[in-house]
Amino acid sequence: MHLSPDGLIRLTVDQLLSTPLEHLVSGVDPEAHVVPAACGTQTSLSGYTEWISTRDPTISIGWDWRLQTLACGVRWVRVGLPRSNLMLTQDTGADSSWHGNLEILGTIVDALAWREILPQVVAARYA
Amino acid sequence: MNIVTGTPADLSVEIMAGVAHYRHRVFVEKLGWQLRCENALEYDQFDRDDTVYVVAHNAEHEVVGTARLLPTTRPYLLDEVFPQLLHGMAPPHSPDVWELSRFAAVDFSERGSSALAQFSSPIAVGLLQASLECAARHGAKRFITVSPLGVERLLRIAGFRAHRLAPPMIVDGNPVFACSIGCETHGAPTAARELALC
Repeated sequence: MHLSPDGLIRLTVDQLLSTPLEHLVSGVDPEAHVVPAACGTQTSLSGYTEWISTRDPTISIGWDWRLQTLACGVRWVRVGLPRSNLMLTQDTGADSSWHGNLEILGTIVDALAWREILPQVVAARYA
Repeated sequence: MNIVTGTPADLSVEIMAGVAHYRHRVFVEKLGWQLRCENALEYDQFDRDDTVYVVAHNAEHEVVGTARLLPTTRPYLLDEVFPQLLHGMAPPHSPDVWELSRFAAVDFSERGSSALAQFSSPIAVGLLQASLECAARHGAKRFITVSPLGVERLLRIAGFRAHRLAPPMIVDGNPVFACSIGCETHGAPTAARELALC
């Protein structure tokens, strides 16, 4: 893992998976509104969440989320690809493609416990 | 929309006064930033003889967008005022890297729009593209900015390649971050969005 002159931290997927990430801050979009997202579903809330590593150089990953209201309850959904200061490298040391990099980060952040934290964030917003 | 670029020596006194007044309307009156101003004109220590400005006018010759470009080889906002946003990383000092600041694209002649809705994007995206091209002519390969966190989302939606340089921090109650934007050529914008950079 190293910080490059372009400001990106370059590391392998294995190095990222072995790096603990913790919640930094989350927020609810100021103009939350109801928009039909698909047949039978509605979007009622959206926002962002930010996570960081506790080691230097500090990894930063953020992404958007949306709360889907379904007939059987609610579901927290990641919206779009993450935003980050990371560039994942291949075994050869070469950079991944930028889009591929973000796709992999998306699958990694989906495994984090962000869906357990967001209800508290939303509750605080509307308390 | 007509866009002009240059240093104060390249632009007329009227254009420079219009930029300072426009920045006061956007950043002080609309966004409420606590900036030192005189006579409803906003400028600071980074408005120098070598500062490059990008100014957009509408058909009525009113200012509808501004941007300020600073080489990182001289004092600039991120280095001097917000170095904490780099989380210990050394601020860049390179002719390849320029800072984009005081970016705004609000058309005050548009009626019925809120202040935030007026950061609309045919102007914002055009102004940002013009700023990138202008900086590239000065040798820049990328911009750095101090931005509200939401700008990162909007840059992506508008089709710009950008990434954060470090985690966001809360400043005056709002998350802000240091952003890097590539100066490579971009395609047509994909959506109308709001943009405002410090």
